[in-house]
Amino acid sequence: MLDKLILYMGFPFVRYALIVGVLIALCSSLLGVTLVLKRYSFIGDGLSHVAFGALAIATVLQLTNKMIIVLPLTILFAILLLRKGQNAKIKGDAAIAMLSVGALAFGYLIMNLFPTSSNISGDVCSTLFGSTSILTLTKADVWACGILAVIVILIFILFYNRIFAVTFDENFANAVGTKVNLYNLLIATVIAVIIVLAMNLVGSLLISALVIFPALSAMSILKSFRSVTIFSAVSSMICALVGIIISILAGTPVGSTIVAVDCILFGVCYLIGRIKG
Amino acid sequence: MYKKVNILLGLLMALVFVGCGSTEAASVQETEVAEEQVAEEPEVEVEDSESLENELLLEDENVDADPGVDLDLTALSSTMVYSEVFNMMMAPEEYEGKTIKMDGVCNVYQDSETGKTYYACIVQDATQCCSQGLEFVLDESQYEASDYPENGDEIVISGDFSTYTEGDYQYITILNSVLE
Repeated sequence: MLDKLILYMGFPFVRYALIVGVLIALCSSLLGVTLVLKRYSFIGDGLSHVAFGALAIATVLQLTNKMIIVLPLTILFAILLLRKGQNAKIKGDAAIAMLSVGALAFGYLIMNLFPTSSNISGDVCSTLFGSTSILTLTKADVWACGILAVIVILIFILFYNRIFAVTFDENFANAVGTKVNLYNLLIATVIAVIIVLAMNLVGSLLISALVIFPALSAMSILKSFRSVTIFSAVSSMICALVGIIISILAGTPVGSTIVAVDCILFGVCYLIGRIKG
Repeated sequence: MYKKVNILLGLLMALVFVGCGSTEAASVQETEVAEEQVAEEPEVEVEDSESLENELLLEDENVDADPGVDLDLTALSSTMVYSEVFNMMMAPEEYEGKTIKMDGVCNVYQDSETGKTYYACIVQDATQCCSQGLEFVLDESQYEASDYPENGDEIVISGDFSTYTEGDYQYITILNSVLE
């Protein structure tokens, strides 16, 4: 098996997949802690479906670079969902559900009404489940993902204290002079970018797992925000790495393999948490 | 909390000791039984060892790529094969002139306008919902038109990766292919 892995590591697209996969897992886990604590766990799902809808529009328009439409639309809807925060008229879960199913339905409808390939179901399935997307990245894709990931990480590190304040108590943060709306806008934008990147790794339907599971695994055994964030980031990277390696060795879909590894880790952490009491 | 962890550790250690003890006690008996089996049924054991060797060979074949080709897709998992074929289509210039070996399902397509028949070796991704393939042309010095496989046949081919232009489009093909 080790010989096989060494053989596979000789392929550039495998190295690209490992680099990008680990970076995406890191970014999604960092923001995942904030989202879970703000009760926005399913925003990854909602935004990924919006991104799917945007991808459908870009596909129908036969754009070479689909990010021109996908990224701005996803950011726009992320801002609409998160900017108002706790004071929104339509609260988090209802707004996410509304956008999620609406975008998914419209996206699939558009792709069927204006087909651009002979295998619509295959294209949709591949986008939804991310079976091999992460293994088909070009060098330019890797650079783009890498730069975006570094920006996300830097934003999180630089604005850690303010993100912490906005996460736990918006009203208090507002009262002490923190620009809550601005930081909600920043969080929304960063989340949208991560969602669009993560679609390449695990597909639209499984993005929530990258966001939720590392955070919940960490919260099962650790208590402080800092330790939860660090554990979430490290465990997410390891799970992504292990998931990609298992999938290329065993010939399984990449996205679901990564999520399965995340689930197993959550199970282990949950048991440890129960034993600890 | 520490009490529960200590109890759990104690149970695990107990299991380990029990496991070691029973193995040591049984190992002598197992050896004696094994020796009797060797004496009584030599033929069965030879067949078993042959089948085990065959399994090992198959595993080795999966790990060791064919040294006679530049890129042996038969040594890769389905996920890797699909990804590599995708990359071949996206950047064919990087594979130009290389010998490729691949296995898949034969797909036959006839152009209704030109009447020309095209043969391709199709591979699927892990979810089996997406498929793609590479066109191949058999080595004319070894094969005739009747030697081409039928639609749906499982095939293993090796040949030279090449590109050509028809009309306004560039196509990929494996020239001088050999069926294995």
